[in-house]
Amino acid sequence: MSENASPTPVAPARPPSGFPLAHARYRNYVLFALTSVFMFVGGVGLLLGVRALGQGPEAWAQYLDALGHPAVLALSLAVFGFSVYFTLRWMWIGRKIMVGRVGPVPGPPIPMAGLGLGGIALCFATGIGVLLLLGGVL
Amino acid sequence: MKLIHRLEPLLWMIFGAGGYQLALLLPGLVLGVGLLGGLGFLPLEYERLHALASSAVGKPFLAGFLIGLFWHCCHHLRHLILDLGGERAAAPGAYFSYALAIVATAATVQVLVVL
Amino acid sequence: METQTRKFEILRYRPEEQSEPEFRSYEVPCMPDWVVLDALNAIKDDIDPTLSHRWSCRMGVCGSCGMLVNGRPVLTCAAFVRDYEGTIRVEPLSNFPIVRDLVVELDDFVHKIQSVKPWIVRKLEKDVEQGEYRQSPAQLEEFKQFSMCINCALCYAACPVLASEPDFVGPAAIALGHRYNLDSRDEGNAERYDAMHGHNGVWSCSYANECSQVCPKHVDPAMAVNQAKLTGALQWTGILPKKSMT
Repeated sequence: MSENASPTPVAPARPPSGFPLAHARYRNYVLFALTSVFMFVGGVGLLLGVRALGQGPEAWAQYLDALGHPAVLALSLAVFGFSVYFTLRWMWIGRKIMVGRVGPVPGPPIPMAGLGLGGIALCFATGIGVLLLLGGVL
Repeated sequence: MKLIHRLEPLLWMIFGAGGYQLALLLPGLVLGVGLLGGLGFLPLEYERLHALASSAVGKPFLAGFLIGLFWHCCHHLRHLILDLGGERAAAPGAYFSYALAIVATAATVQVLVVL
Repeated sequence: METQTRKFEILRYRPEEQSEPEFRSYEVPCMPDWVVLDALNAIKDDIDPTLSHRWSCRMGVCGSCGMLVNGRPVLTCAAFVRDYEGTIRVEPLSNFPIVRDLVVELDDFVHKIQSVKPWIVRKLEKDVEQGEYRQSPAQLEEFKQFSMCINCALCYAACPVLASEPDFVGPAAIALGHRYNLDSRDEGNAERYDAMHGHNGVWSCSYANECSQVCPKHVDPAMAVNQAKLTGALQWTGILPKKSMT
């Protein structure tokens, strides 16, 4: 709390007990914030892919080779894991915003859990769609 | 910092829009390109993907997706730095994060222009 | 009923004797149906009368007895001793300066609550003869959940943002402001905008959701704060007018 305070002598405020890593509840939150670092790295990886596409077939083949390197695969696995965790938490806590009234418009008359699970199911479906598009099926 | 404080609603909206894009698309993209593509399980042919990416739909889509991704991540990174670094990290963390987003945006634009 | 002796570690701070807070241990014979507050009262009555703590109603309504029990913000009148194993550690609420022992300084919290004008704001007040402001059950339902706050401040103790941004208006105040913004009788949306959506308002929240986890009244302040972000952002763009929220 700020110090625009009273004349009473006080001992300074203590931070929340166990933040950031001692309790699971705070760990999940820090893990969620950490998704930003890994997803940023994933974005850079995808951007490098788009650049390779712009540079021609040889650059693209080199890009695919690099993706196959064990260290890059491990990084991709980490990015994938963090992005899945992100999707789950984003949709789950994001459902609370979706039920809110915006100005005169009421939120959807859907139960909260349904909205969260529905959002996660939608993400799963679009994920499959992305795979089909990349694989040339769509 | 005054400018950043004035732009908070805008930064939050970009963060939110980017977040929904990421939730919908990033797991599939990373699985398809990084993992299945890297392992050779998914045929990522140059001709087809180049045509897809450089099409009239592909380019604006990639611009929106990647720039949204970078700004989303950098905004979240700013909060991570603040949480772990405390009040003193507020201004440096914000400058660093948004500078990173600006650099990433410039790189994205450059890559897409030559695509 | 038989008593069972339990060990408590309590953070003590008596400014005239100590330069900083430190833990002191107490062995307390507890009845099986006791809550942590009962044990604190037993310490004060029978073991160490110098212990200071706040409490009043003993039934989860007044919001006075919030403390950290084993690191988690709870109402001590609703925290049963039998639900904890081993030593029970009791501390004053985090994120608040400590006045004495388990008593924290709440002035800043009260100022923050006041800053969102948590009352019905009208441009023109009706005369009493014109009757009451009518509201349908559906209109009541829109904000009822957010009106259940008892100002116990557990959400402030749980919030990781308040630790690094002490001036953040915080969960309870924003939930209360949101409650009035959603009230069909209210016209004070624009008057609350700066406090709720200015520099130390909703944008500081990074949605740890901890406030909602510890709220004893299921107000779900995180929901209010994050709904208020969307409303505030749309008002900022001008898509949504500030004054005619309802």
